Amino acid sequence: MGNYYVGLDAGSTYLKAALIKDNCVLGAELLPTGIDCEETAGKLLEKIYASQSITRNDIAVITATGYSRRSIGLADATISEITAHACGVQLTAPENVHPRLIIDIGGQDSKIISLGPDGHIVNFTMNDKCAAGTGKFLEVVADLLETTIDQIASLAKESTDPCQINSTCAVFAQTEVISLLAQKKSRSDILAGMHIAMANRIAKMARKYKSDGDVMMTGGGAKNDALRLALEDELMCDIYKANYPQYNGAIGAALIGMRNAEKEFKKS
Amino acid sequence: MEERTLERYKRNISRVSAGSLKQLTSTGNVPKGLEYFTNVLKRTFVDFEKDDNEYIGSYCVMVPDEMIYAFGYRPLRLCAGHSVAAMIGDEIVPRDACPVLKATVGFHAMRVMPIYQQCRLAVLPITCDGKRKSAALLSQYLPVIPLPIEMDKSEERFAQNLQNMHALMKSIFKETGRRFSNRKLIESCKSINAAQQEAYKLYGLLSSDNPPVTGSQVMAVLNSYCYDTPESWAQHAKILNAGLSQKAAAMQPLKREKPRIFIAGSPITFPNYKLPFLMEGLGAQIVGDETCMAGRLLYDPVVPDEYSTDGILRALTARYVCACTCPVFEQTDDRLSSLTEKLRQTKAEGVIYHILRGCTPYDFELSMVEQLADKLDIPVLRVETDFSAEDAEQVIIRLEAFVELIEQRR
Amino acid sequence: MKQRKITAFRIMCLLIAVVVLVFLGSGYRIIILLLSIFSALVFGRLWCGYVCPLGFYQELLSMLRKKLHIPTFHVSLKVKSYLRPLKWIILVYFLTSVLFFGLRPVMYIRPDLSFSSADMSIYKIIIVGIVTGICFLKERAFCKYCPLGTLRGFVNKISFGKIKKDGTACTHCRACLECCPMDIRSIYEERNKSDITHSDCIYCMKCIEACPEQDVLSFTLFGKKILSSKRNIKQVK
Repeated sequence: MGNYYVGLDAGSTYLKAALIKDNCVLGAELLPTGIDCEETAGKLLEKIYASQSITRNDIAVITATGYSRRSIGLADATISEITAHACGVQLTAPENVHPRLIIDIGGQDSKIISLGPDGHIVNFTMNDKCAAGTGKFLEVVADLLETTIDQIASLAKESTDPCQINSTCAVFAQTEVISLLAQKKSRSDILAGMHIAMANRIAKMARKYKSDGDVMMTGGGAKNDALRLALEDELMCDIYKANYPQYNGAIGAALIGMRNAEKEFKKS
Repeated sequence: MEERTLERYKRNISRVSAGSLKQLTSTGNVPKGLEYFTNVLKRTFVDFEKDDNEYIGSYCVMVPDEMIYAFGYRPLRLCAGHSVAAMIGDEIVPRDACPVLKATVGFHAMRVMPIYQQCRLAVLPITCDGKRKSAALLSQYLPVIPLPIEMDKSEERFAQNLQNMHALMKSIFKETGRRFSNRKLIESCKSINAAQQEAYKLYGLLSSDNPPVTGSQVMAVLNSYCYDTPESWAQHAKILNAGLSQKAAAMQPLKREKPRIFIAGSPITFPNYKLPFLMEGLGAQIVGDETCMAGRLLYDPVVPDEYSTDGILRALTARYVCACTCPVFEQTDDRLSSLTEKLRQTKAEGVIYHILRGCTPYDFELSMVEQLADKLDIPVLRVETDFSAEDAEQVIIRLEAFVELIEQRR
Repeated sequence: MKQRKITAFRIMCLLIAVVVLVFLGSGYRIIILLLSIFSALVFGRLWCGYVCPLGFYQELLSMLRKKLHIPTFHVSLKVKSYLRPLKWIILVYFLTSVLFFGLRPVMYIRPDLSFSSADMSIYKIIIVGIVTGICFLKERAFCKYCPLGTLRGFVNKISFGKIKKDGTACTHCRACLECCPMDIRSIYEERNKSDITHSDCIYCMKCIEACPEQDVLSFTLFGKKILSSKRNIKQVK
């Protein structure tokens, strides 16, 4: 048994893996989840082992989190995503940032987790009923505007006059985009408006849990600078971007695996 | 056509009820003596048994059962928890009304449940908005006697509540033609008191350090009281308690205790045990609750100072209204004190605050309960749900994170 | 299992006291007076609940009423507040009568003293009748206005016997208020203070017997808990 720890985050869109050793993140890979997440997990692990020239025998514990965590047979343990994300920030927070509020924006859900001074979870809430505050929302809009999710941030920043978006539903937003295009609004303005609408939704959830202390974004949505700036405006505070934002859950899972193993070792 | 619809209703109702009953008895060590209570529920909700008894229905926990016995009728609690009935009731009652109302109205409208059909009349306390407006709605199905309840717990309002109880007796007499008997009133006080003693013991066993029974099983036992006589229920509860005490004495202490969870909030009624089942499935144990259909159903005893009719009515009003901690009342200190005491007694490590969608009174008191729990250093999780099974996955995620939170705090 | 044992014990005490005071007491008036003053100074109104023959008489009337299932009457808070000054008026009247006119007004109220004297005026019979009637319908109605009781009550707050309450564990079930012969409200309403000994309290302990919650109401003597409320409340007979 080695002293490497692996965390798997089996999300709805992507399966993420992270490799840590001694509180350092050594590797992080992702693949689209596909229909057989066990198979995808296997492939992902092979990839990550190869990147560090190690084998399965060097791994002490594989911990899985995310929606499909229980269907990954090769995981040794499972943990809920909320606990995983709360733990992951201990390694992914930028220097001098001590997060007290985590805003995680995933593919199909968004989470708000408030932490105590010692990093323990104080409270949390999730939006997993409606796509309007999740990555899906922007994906749908990006698709309609014939661009990709990676481009929308820079496009939105070019906006001079953001549109007022009325619908909160991701599906009905499509209708609104088409009518805005018919009014000859530019892609930048529409995208900027969409970011503001989404930031609005998320801020509504986050405001109740916000207290003094740093606010940090994780998840795929954290890579979107325009979204982060829009959220900063809504919450009226600085919002930091986590390092390895999309892997925060996987890193947290690996960390928990490591901590639990240490506890077991101390007991024996 | 009508026949086929009724058949479909029956099939669906019994399917969901049987499923819930199966899950109650599926855990490893099913206590001896639980079978009697699950059979009561089975007879009512799966087999649709009819009988020749005469019933008066009641809603809420503010209608004194003793008074109904005094008139020679058996009381039936009509507050429902069935998801199939809630679906039917959804078409009649506003979308934002609470699912208990939807299920109750649904059961009346479906006309397949003997317990609803057999009621001579129903007594409806006017407590929350939903109850107030459903009085007119339910009177389409059976005679309804509204019982006004004063929402203020002051002394003047107590006198008013007492008058309302006297008026209720007159109304029941007028509606049924039967005179009430003081002797029967006293007898029923005695038998219900015996049932209350057993319920208290049962909850004591549930909150012990290593409970020999699960929270969902205890809730089912208490729920079955609504469809049974106090004498029979108390007799079998005594046997159950004796068996559980024996079992508890013989059990080994666990190396790692399961997280102790207390359920507060909106009523959890058979067969809607979604929340306790999920909690227990995640490895937590429920050590107590303050819901009206389980923890509070048989908690406060009736303590008359004298046994004249007026004396007993005063004691009934005191127990059923003054001691009631439903959030519909203006004063909140009764509920908060009771909750503090129960959390202390059960040594709870976490509180699940269960809110049924549409139940505003409980939602309003959430912030006060959060403050209280904060002072006691106990985490609280708000779970809003209804009777359907659609949001099970989402509820599981939150419950699981909560259980992990508690385990990490230790 | 102290369901009605305290009350039974107390009735016994009252019975013994009546026998001693009424039938044997004539020669020992000074001793009895000194005992009365001593108990008043140390234990406040304990005498009222365990010794006073007039109290015993009222208890017998109440027990008869309850046996016959005759209901009592209740007055509203407003009327009670109007009647409250009566207590002080009676106290002043009593003190002036005793100190300046040497009268013993209790003669007009205690039936046994009234009838023992030869002077059986219709006036006395009416007063005894009215008092008996009111005390039959309302438990210990006289004790709420008794001047001797009022005097003893001043000591209650500092006496060594105290009624204590655990405010948070109280469920506001009203059992204590309904059975209290002195209609003391603070026993039911108080949630914050733990010492709720009231100047009207006669230490009958009915509230402790009635309270269905464990250890919410208790009686302490010199700080030590002697009696406490238990979950097993008295069974309906």
